[in-house]
Amino acid sequence: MVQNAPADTHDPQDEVRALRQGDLALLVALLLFCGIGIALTLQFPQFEERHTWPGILPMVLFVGLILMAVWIFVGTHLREPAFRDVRSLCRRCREGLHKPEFHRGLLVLGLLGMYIFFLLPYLPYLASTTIFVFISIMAFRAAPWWLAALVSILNSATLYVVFGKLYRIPLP
Amino acid sequence: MIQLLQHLIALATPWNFVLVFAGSTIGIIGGALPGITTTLGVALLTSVTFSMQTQDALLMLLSLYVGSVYGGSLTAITINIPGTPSNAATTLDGYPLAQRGEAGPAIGLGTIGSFVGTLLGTFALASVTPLLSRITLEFSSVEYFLLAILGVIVCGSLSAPDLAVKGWMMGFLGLLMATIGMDEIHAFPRYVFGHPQLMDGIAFIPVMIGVFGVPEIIQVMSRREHPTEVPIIKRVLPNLREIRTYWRVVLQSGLVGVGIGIIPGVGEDIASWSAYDAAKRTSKHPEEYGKGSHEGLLASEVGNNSCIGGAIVPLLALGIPGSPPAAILLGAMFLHGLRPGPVFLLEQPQYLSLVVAILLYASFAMLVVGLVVSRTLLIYIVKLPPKVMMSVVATLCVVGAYSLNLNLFDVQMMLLFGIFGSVMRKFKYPLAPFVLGMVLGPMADGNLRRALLVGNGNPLVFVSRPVGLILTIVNVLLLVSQFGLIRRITSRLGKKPDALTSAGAP
Repeated sequence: MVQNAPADTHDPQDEVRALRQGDLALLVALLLFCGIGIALTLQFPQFEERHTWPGILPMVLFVGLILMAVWIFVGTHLREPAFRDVRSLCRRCREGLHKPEFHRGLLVLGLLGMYIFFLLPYLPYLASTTIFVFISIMAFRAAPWWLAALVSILNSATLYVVFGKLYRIPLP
Repeated sequence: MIQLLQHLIALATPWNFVLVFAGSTIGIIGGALPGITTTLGVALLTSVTFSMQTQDALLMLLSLYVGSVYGGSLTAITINIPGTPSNAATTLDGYPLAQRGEAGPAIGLGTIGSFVGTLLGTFALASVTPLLSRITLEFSSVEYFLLAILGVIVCGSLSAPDLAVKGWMMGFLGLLMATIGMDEIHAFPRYVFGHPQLMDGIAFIPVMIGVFGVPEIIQVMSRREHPTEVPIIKRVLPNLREIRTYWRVVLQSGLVGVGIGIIPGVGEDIASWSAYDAAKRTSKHPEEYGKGSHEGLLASEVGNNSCIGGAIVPLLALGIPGSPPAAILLGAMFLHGLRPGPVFLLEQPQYLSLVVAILLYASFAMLVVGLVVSRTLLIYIVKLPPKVMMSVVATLCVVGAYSLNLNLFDVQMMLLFGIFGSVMRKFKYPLAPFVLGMVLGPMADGNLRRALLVGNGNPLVFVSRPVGLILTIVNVLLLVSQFGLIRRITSRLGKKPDALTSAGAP
């Protein structure tokens, strides 16, 4: 059994600042999303009974999201210029991109993407699942190759028997 | 009562016991494994129960739910790693007890606490649901729309680790996702971009698997690991005479857990912390908390397990889940043709007593498995390498997402929402309101438009009825209370930049 690595010791003030800067980046994306959403919603047709327009709730929600984004922005970013310090934001991004956790996270996503977009559509389920599990275990050096092979074959076979044969649920 | 007895007798067959014990054991093992949360466990099992009879599916899912919330306490006590977020408070007193060589009695105490907590929650479910169900018969589309918004706002406020407004944003995003697909009044396709797969909307179970499963897989696979030793556990059976002396904290924590459970979307982790906090505040020995207090351990475990019954109250009476695992349960019930909501118990009253009977059996199964085999289970669980395990979990997630509609589009959606969940979790945007928003979206959309139709487009229709007026006032008060906070915090920020660390925002 393994345990989490002890958490890195952060300066709490710096952590809050990082969070607010992250919020700032997300808020920009959110405002863009809301803008596109409102433009799409305005194209919804008006029906005879105008109070049941399909765009009522989405419009209320988009406006609500914009107000909340402005709320966070006004609440913190305008009051504290440090949140808008572009240089420290860039530095933080650069540091984040070089962290091993980020690389490992990308590797996990890459492996999942490979499994879902390339292996499953083109290979039979048993083969694609065995390959995915084997590569995942080996990529993270979580077990020796023979154990990785054993686990991946056993896992695929068990899923095939339990889902495919026992419960008759078609597999991808 | 007679119906409950009938169900208890009818369920007492060997096959049903096999299902209850299987669900409970899988739940305890999954709960004890860090990375497999209760929500993910219920979501993954839902795919297995597609082809089962409704009763069999409920037996397995509810047993797994109860077992998983308890199972997380085993590793929380022995190795200081909560198996699920709902057992985080258990580590505070459970682990110090294990360090003092009392791991066995601590597990026993936690097991009894979880058992009694589940019973208290089940009692609340049996007694409160019919009352709530009767009240909701008076509700119109106005109240249902306001209730959906209230659910999202309360859940957002309570589950946000950083700012309440972030929780609301996630809730609103969830509501928005639910509007994708064919609109139920005019059959107009909204935001489908020519994709026929989006006509029916985004499937809920793949999204749930994505937002709760993929971030866990990434987190476990990305972290550094250190070997951990399990302490020697000699005796798990607790001293029942000692437990009787804690009746006050058990009852109080049970009430707190049930209360938190009834609030839409909040769930077991907040119930556990709230029960722990309430117990500490009212204890005669608060100084012992965090140093191996039996009271603290009991409060946390009673709180999270009693929340299960509480979370099912709004699920059956209103069709609104009280916790994320209950949201999956709602999805599973939909898949089996059940439609929990205002008239559900009026049309099919037998389901309340069936769920109560199953929870009673599940709690006994959890008690037996917890006291008899938890020691042996722990030895094997602790030996499992998490990265190998999560590779296997990833394949289970794919099968779970695929088996709903049998198309790869749902699996791709799962991955997409998994990435979204990972990013949002990194920036401390809670995922529970997002999920609740997706569940409540259709209810909010249809009822908003029906209410406006009834009111001839006049928004004052929302305050024209007493319950609607009260719900509107509560919604506004919740929002305004945050405005008060923003004003206080921003004025403090203006004077003292140091204050950032304490709060930082609205």
